[in-house]
Amino acid sequence: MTRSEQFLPVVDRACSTEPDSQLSRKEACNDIVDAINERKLTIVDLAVLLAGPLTSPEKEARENGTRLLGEVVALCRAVLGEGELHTLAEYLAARLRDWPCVGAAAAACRSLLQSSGSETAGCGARLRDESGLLVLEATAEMLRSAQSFRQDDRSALLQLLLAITRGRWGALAAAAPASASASAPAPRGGPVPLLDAFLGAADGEKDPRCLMLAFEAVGALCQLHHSPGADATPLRQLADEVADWASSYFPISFNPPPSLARGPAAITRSDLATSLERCLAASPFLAGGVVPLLVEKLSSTYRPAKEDSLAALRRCCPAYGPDALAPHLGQLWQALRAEVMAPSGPGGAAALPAGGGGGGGGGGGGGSGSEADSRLALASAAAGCLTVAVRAAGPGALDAVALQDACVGDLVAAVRGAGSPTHGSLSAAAIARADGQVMCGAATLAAIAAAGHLSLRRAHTVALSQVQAALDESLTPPTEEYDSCADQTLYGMTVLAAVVDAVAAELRLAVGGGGGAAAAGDDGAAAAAAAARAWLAPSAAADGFAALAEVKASLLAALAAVHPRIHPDGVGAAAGVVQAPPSSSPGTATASDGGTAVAMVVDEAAAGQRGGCYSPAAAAQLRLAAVGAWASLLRLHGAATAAAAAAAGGGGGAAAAAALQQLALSDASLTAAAEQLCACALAAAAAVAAAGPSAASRMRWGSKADAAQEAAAALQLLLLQLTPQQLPAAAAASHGAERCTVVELLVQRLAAAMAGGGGGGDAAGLRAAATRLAVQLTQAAERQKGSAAGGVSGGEGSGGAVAFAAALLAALPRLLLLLEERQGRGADGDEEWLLDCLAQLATRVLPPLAHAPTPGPTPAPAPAHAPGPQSAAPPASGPPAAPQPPSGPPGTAVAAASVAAAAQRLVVASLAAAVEWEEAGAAGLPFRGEAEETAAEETAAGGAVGESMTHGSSALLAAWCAAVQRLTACCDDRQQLDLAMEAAERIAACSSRVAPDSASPSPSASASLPLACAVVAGLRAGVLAPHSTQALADSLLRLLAAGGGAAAATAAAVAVAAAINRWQDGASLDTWLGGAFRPALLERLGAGGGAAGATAAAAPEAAAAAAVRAVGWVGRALALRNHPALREVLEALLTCLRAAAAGSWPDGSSDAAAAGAAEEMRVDGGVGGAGAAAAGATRSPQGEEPFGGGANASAAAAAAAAADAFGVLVAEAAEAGGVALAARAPQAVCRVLWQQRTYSMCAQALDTEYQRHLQMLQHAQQQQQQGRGPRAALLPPIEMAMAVARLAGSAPRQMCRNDATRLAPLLLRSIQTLGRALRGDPEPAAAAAASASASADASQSPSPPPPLAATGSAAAAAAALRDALAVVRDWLGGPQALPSAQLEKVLTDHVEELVDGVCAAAGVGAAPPPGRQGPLAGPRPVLAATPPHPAPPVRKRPPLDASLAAAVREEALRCCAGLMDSLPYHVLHPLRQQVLGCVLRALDDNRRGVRQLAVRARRAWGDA
Amino acid sequence: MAAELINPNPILHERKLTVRTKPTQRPEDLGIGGREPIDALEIFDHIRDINDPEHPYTLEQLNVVSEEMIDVDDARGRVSVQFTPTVAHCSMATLIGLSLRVKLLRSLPPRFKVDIKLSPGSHSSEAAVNKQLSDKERVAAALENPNLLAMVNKCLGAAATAMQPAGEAATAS
Repeated sequence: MTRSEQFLPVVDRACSTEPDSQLSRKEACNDIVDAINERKLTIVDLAVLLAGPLTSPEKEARENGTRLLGEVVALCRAVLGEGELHTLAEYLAARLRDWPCVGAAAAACRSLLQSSGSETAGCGARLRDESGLLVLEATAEMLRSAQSFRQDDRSALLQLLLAITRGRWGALAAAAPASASASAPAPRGGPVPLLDAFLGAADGEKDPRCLMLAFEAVGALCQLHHSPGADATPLRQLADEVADWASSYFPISFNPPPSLARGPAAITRSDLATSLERCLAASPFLAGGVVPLLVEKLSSTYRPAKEDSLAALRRCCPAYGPDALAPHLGQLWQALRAEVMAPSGPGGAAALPAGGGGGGGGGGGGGSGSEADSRLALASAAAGCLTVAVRAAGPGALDAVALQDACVGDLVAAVRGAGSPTHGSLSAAAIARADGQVMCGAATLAAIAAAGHLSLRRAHTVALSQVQAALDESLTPPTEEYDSCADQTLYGMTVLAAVVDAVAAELRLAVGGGGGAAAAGDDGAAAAAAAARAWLAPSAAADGFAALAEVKASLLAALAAVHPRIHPDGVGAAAGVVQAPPSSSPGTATASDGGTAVAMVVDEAAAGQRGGCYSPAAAAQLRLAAVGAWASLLRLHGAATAAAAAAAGGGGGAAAAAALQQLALSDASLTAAAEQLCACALAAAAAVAAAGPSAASRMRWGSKADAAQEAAAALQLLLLQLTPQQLPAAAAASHGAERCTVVELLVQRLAAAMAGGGGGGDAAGLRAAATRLAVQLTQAAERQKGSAAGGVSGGEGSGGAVAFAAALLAALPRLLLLLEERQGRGADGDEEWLLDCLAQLATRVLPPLAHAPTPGPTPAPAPAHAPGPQSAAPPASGPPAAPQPPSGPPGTAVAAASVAAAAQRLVVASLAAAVEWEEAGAAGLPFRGEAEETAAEETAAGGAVGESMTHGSSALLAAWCAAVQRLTACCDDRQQLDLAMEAAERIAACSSRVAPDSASPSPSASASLPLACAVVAGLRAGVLAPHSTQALADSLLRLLAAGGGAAAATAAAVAVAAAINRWQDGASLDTWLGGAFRPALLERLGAGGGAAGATAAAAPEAAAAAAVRAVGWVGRALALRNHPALREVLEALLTCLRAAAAGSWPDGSSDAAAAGAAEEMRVDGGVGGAGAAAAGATRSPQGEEPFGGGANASAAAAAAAAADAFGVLVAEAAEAGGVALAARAPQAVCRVLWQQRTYSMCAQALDTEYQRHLQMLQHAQQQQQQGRGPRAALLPPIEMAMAVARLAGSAPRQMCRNDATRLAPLLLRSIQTLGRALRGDPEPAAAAAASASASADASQSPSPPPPLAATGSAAAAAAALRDALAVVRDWLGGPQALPSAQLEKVLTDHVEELVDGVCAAAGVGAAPPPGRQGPLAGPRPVLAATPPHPAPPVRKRPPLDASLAAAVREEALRCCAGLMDSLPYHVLHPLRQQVLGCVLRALDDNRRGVRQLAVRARRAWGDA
Repeated sequence: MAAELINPNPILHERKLTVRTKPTQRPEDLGIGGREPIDALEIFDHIRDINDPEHPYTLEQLNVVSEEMIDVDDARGRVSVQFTPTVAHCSMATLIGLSLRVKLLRSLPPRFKVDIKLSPGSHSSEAAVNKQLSDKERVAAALENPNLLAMVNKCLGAAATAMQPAGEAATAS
């Protein structure tokens, strides 16, 4: 006793009723548990110690005592003996009857029962049955009165009940009376009426948490009574009550309260609905009550009720089984039929097309469109439910009822009636009604047919065979007027396609469900898949599949017949393709059956060729139907192939596999599919291009459907399914060959379409459509990756797409370069199409291919043609990309190799073409080597046209470069080496040509040079040996130094950067930099823009800019490598900026004082610029030069280029002239943290430079004794502003955010400078007042320097400004992310600059509004008719690109709106008038987008 | 509030998807000097999301305003908006009109003259309401009244936040 009494204080602590003693209670409880586990204390001792709390009159004390006992029991279960357990069970059963303790006691009982139920050995003694029964009885007793308990007590009781049903206790409780009395004579005999008790507890339950438990408990109890050896009588008796109880909750209406809305214990409506469904499906005995309920709720008008009852039926029907469902089949069918047919009924979706048939009512139909959609969704859900129900009811039950129904007869009648002569004379409404009937009937029929073999067979006998007959009949009309039968054909195809589709979906479910159900974890999906697997049962399979094969053959025949009549011009080709293969397709019986059918129909088609074809409207509808049918057939093909594979793999299913093979499409059919779909896609796209958006589709309830899109999707499906899937090796060869034909066929068709320009808008549309389609098809692989869940072909799926891409690339040279047929036709859309095609190629087709598995170290299977100028001409015709027989590697690797080969061939061809084009005089579009007449036209049309032409062709050249670079990246190492040799040769030739007579390089004509440069840029690191790199770099450098055409120089700059970046030997790179780069470029650059310009007298600005740009690119290459020489480059760039600032100085103000200031600056720079030693040294000769106009302009151009280079240095992906040097590993050598390092170096340098500028200004002011424009004086010169803006705009946002403290003053002032310069306003009022004295420095910054206006750098400045504003907006943060405290402080400190800059930017390029500002002075119609404001004469700036300027304004206004959100109001208040003024002006902007943003900004500022 | 609704059960209309598909770039759509003129749809975009004073719906959902009832002359700076109360005796008509006027006042450049009128025959005291709405003094006086201004701002509250072109807001409840 003494030993146990020492625990008394601990026990007291553990039972404490103090409110906040949670922690100490827990500790004490742990102590007790430890003591018991170490046998220092027995459970009986504990009970004695607990005597006080357990017998206390206070209910809290009793409750705590019971809880402690329960916790201890749960944790010490293992050490308790059998006797102790019995005592505890007795005691806890008694506690359970004590109302205040019921929750705690229930938890304790649960732990007592649970641990004994789940484990048998090694874990203490076993609770005796009789002791368990004591607890069970007490539980049942308390459950009856549970309604009056608190929620947590009820929930604890329900959990106890669940624990009981899960363990052996459930069997005990539900045991049949006889066996129960035999094995374990319970004290009172007989099973415990848990179900009855549960109903008592659950009646009137409203708490969602308890309801979840209760629904689960019903399932568990039902399972209990259905388990073998259990007595099902109580359940049968109480089934109606259970159904009544559950149905009172159906459908669930629940809005989660805030406490339950989130968190781990959140309960949603769908949770409740799902568990209610499970509850309803728990036992077949419930069917009598539940099915009528669900049927009734299905007819409700409340949408969730419909949805829920459909979902519940899906779950319940399989669970109830045929016997339980049998009495309800009639009403079930009626209800489901009503739902499936609902869209065709009165007020259904079928009413819509009648109303808005013309397709004109976009606004009218928009409102009810979503409603119709939801109806249709409901109908399709009902159809799915019908399938499940038919299957659940067993063969011959529900399907028999359904197929005798009038709706099936009506369907057949409607299909037949459509061919009758009277059909054509029906009104539009009647036709729409018939459409609806057919669609709904088809859905019903498909749902029935999809239920299983026998249902399919039966449906075929009753209805499908008749539909087939009608379809056949419609294809051979007595007269030549096909239109009269078009509707019948349409209907027939729709019905058959619907059936095929439904079966395919079920098959796929059967195959995919096995693998996917475990991952999905949803028992509903798993059950559905298990049910669908009945399709794959080996027995009796053939019958249903044979029926489906007939359907398939019939559909194929119809498609073959219809196609030539839709596309009259494509008849010959179609017939040729279809006719050829049937003899060679061995196949199964049905395959040849289909083949003969096809052949037969082809004859008819040939006969019909001379006859008419469908009218355009009918053809459009039929085209959609045909595309849909093909898609269905392809889905069936895929599903059947997968199912056959699964059946064969599963073993023993050879018969089933053979039956399934009947359903797969034969090679001939696949070819026909490709042919027809391709034609459909192109024709539909051309129709769209010619006549606007497509009309409403009748067989889609009048919704707009784009046949081109759908055909493209179907073709993607086709390509995906072409992969050989676990076929034996022998079959693989034939399969591979077949794939080749399909792919080739597609490419041929598309190529023909792409080449077939030469006419009006139709042809251009067709070409664009073909391009788009081709691009879409190459992306089938991507699509597949996205939806890998449902796919059967997995990673292998990309094979078809890659093969297609390879074939396409092989076909492209012919198209792009027009090497074959050189008829000199001036196609209008050529340029546009080429641009589009190349852009698509570079951005969408090639990047994924570059990531595709390349053959790697094993050499590519024999590149077919040796690369070299002599064999540059592409293969004349024919498919060169014939894949090697797939011996070792799977198809994908072969395809990748052929892609590489084709890519290489295209590059070589384009290089050769470029050379040829150059030699031919470089007239017309690049590389289309034709067209004297184009050139003549150009000269005739005069200056404007000529300019636009060259602009267009330079864009084209850039597109070519981008494509070539990507193509090169696709090649493997050896091919790259070959290409590199070729390119190096070209570059060397150019440089040697340029070097001797540097006076007149022909700048515009060099097209091969950029391409060669692009090749160099596309090489992988490590392809070139160091010395070859050096040779390459040398010749590029020579080119650059000589100056050249803009495009060539840009590309060469990038190429030299790429070469430097991939230089393998660091030491030789250093030598080269010191020996070649520095003297040739860097130092000449340092010598000022004027010096560089002097050599190339023709275009000094361009030459200077080109040199600076080259240095910038080299800097990027060095930056990526973290090379120390970067600093020198940076210095050189800064020198350029400085030179321009100095250059604009005396130009802006003509008085001598300013010149003195400039002089001062130079001295200051030489002394103060600590890191600028080299720069200072090189600048000295320039200092004395008088600034001529040319030199000045070239300095400005150089500075603009230098400013741009700062962006190039840090950007993630920089691109110039189509050639890019990405900062990614495979394309470039790329050290870690290069971006951070470079950014911080640049920012530091610019900051120092700015400080120097400030010092210099102060100096000047002191000298002049009159400088008083503090705000204006702080502004950096415009070149530096551009540099800052480019730097910040190109660097990653996060970096700018972190560096805001340093960057903010500089960036904000740069924005001010740029905004004012671009706006060209004299000054905003405030600033003007401040600098009224018109000092030299005040006039410097606001007035735009002449170079800015003269050259195209205004656009560059605007772009820089836009980027800088984007950085600011990022700082300000969106509405959700406020700026950090540090950022906010920085911005608050500089708020004046910020607001001023933003306001200045908001006025960039804004044209005056049409009306006069202010009140309208009376009616002035005459004045208003003419533009009231002629452009003010003061501004002579060339107009900025309007959309660019608008982008700047939009960004500025976004910043405006963001300011109010992120900065405290008291800071902003003084600036409010200024901002509101600029926003008000923006309200009348010319651009709508700007106006909308202005409204938002005004609201933000006006409401405060 | 639910005690004396003027129209307790209004007819609801879906939010139409009359959203401008893409910015007009064709030269013939642009006015003088490359201007995208202010058109009826733009005005409608400003006012479609104003809340009704007594129902939690927008004026568009209640069909109080529609694109067809708006006339704009961008060059001369004129806008005329006609609105239709849900019932003919609606006492909120003036408040709705005031909200429209204020919203357009805040959203349009100052050169515009805004006319807000009831659509003919839609209200029992049409003339009086129209007179009141076009009386500058009374409008100004009304906006001086803090209570009235608060009510107007409440109506306009959603208009700024619900700018996103989405149809789901309409069907939410």
